[in-house]
Amino acid sequence: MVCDIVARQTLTSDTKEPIGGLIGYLFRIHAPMVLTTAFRVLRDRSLAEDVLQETFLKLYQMKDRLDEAVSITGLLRKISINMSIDILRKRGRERSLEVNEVEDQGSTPSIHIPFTQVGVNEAVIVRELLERLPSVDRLILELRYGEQLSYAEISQALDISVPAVAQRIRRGKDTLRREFRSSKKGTL
Amino acid sequence: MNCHEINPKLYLLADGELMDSEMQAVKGHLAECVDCRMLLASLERENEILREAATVQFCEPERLLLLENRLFRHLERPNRWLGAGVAFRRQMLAFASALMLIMGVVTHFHGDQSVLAHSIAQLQIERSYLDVRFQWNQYIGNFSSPRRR
Repeated sequence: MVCDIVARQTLTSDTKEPIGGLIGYLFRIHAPMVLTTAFRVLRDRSLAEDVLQETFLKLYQMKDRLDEAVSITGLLRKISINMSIDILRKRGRERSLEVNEVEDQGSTPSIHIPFTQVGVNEAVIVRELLERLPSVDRLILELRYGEQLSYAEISQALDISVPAVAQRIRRGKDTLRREFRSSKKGTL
Repeated sequence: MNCHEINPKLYLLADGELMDSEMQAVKGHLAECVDCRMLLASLERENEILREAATVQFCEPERLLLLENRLFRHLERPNRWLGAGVAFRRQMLAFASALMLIMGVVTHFHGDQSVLAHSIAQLQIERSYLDVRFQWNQYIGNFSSPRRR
């Protein structure tokens, strides 16, 4: 939040600073976040780096139109996610990342058998299981637990409602539990 | 509230997304129910595992510095080309001015006005040719009907 305030002051101040002063500051703060977010969508390092560059170029182009209420961190994240999804669409993988609202299939929870097991490095198994999830469910889980975003921030970044985010997270975790149980039986 | 009603709220509580208005009821139930406390503990453990599994760290400082330099090259490129264009236009203007000056001097000191007279005559011929052509185009245009869409 402090970064956001300083960044906004830097962006909106009418100084005679060179370009490096404006964007360089924001780049050094936010580049890791933008790069990681793009990588989470694209699963490709070089494409994620392209998205990083395009995201900051776009921010530079729209610096005069920034609204006071908009969080620069949230804006950068949203730009990078949208650009990454556009790249996937251009490469013909759009069906895998259609972010639609999901219907609430009732709140009756299944019997909870957690994916925890003593004596096993669960994180390694779960990392592999995450890759098998539908792209949107995986992305939402990664944004929630990898990037530590709140449901509201995820809904803002992906343009879906907060209940839909909660539903996706629960569904993703249910799938992980099922897969974890079957992996214990020797399928992994 | 019974366990069945509390269960979905435990997911939200474990994620830190439970609303304040519901917090008291859920905590009241948790104080009495061992099963729900165990469920909450396992959900929190799952979240820890997910955080560990979803961690991505590949932002090496050297690589980021290279990417920053690449970004600056892109940002500075339009300005550089714009500067080059301005410089080119200035050079062309200076060249044209010098050429006109030289021609004026040559014409002035030549003493023979026949060159100038010849040029004027040539210009008049060209103008009359253009007039005829313009009238011809107008004449042709009168016969052509506008295209209907």
